[in-house]
Amino acid sequence: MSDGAVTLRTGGLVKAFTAGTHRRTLFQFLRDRFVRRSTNGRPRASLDGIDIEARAGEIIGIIGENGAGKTTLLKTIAGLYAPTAGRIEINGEVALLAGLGAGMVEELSVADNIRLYGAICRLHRRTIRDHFAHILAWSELEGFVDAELRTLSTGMRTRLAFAIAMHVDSELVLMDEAFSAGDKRFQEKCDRFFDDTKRLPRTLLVATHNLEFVRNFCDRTLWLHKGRQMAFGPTTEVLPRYETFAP
Amino acid sequence: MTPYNSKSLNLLWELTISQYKLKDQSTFFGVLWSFLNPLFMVAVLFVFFHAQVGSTVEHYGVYLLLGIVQYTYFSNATNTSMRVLLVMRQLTKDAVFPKELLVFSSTLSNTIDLVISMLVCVAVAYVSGVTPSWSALFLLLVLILQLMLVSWVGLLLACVLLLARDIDHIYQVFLRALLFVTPIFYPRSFLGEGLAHYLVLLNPLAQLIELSRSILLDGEVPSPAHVAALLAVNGLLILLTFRVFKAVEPRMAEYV
Repeated sequence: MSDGAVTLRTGGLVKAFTAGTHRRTLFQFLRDRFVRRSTNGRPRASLDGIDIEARAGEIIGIIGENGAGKTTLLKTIAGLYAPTAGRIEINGEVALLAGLGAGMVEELSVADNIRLYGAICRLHRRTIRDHFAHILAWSELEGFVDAELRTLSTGMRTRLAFAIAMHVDSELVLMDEAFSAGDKRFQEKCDRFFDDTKRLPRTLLVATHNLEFVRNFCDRTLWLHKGRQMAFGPTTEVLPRYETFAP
Repeated sequence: MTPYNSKSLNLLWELTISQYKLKDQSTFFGVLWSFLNPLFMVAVLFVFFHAQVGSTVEHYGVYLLLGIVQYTYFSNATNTSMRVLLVMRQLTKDAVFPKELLVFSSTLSNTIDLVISMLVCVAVAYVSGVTPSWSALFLLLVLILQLMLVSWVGLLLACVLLLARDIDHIYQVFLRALLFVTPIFYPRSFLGEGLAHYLVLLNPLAQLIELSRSILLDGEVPSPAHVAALLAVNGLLILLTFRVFKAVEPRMAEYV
C-alpha cells in the first residue's frame, strides 16, 4: 500500500435506485409530489456498504461481474449520483473517464475535438495547447488534424480520446473500462502510460474486466458482487479469491 | 460540488464554440440564414400590419425588426437551453463538471446570433432614416439584460424538463402565445388601459424590447432606476433558479 496522502475514503456507502422510469409527465410529477408517492417500486441497492480508502500514487482495480456496481461506484464517487447513505471524502479534484471519448462530436474536426474533450476532461487550455502535438503523435493522427471525427475508425478515436485523457492531472482519476478497446499496439502504449502513472502523486480507480491489467498494475483491488463489497485489499490476495469465485 | 476555476471557463468556452459550430453558423451563410429567418417573419408581419397597426408607428419596419430579433433570440436560446441536458445526455451523465455550464454555453452560443442581429438592426435603422445617436451604445445593456433573462429561464426550464418531459410541448404553446402578448408588431398603446396593458408591464421580454426601441428609434437614454430595477430582478431570478438547478443537479445523471 502506498504511503501517500489519502485522496478518497468512503464509509458505509449505499446507492439505491428506484426501478421505475424518471420520464414523467407534468401531471405524473405533480401527482407523485403532492398527492401520493410514486408507484415506481421499492428502491434497489446497487451499492451496499462500500468502505474503501485510496492513497496518492495507487492504482486500485475494481472488479466484479456485470451489474456488480462498478460503474455506479465510480459515478457516485464522482458526484454524478447522490449517495443514498454513507459518506464520501475526497481530497483534490476528481476526473471521471466513463466511456472514453464521451462528449466528442462527430461533426467537428480532430483539432476541435482535442480542445473540446480536453476541456471536458478538465484540462487547462494551456495544457491542451502545450500537448497538442504530443496528443496527435501519440494517437498517430498527425495527418488528420482537420478531418471530421466521423471519418475516423473506432480504433483511431479510442487512441485520440486516450491520448487526451492521459494528460488529466486531477488527484483522483476514475476510469471505467477506458482501455478495453484497441489493438495490441494500443494496449502496449496504454501499459507504458500506467507504468508511468505509478510514479505520479495521484490515485487511479479503474473498473475493469481485464484481470491481466489488475494483476500487472493495481496495488489494491476492490471486488464487488451484486453491489456488495466482497473484498478490498492487496491485489495478490483479492484476485485469487475472485478467480476462484468466478473462474 | 466541482469548484469554478480556469478549467471551468475553458470548458464553457469550448462548449459554446462547439455548439455554435454545430449550428453551421461559423460560416458566412450560416449566420445569414439565422438572420433571414426573423427577416422573413418581419416581411410577412410588415405586409399585413403596416397599413393599420403600423400606421401610428414611425419606422415600423425597424420597430418590427427589433421585436422579432429579440423574440427569436429568446425563443431559440430558451428552447436549446431547456433541451441541452438531454441533447448532451452523455455529458450530463458521464462527465464531472458543473452542469449549468451546458445551459450557459447553449445560451451564449445563441447570444452570438443576437449580437450580429442587433448590429444589423442598427445598420438597417440608420439606412432607413433613423437619426444616429450615441445612445445606441446602451443597446449593449439590452444585450446583457437579454442574456440574464434567457439564463434564468433556461436554467429553470432545463431542470423542469428533466422532471416533467411534456414541459417541452407546453413551452411551445407558451412561446406561441408570447409572440402575441408581447408588443412585437403592435405598440403597447394598442392594448388600451385594461388588464392586457398591465400584463405587458409584467412581461420581461416586452420590457427589454420596448427599452431597445426607445434607445434606437427615439434616441433616449434609459432611466437609471428602470435599468437598476431590471438588473436587480433578473439578477435575483438568476440566483434563485441557480439554486433550484443546483438542488436538482445531483439527480441529473439519473433523470436524463
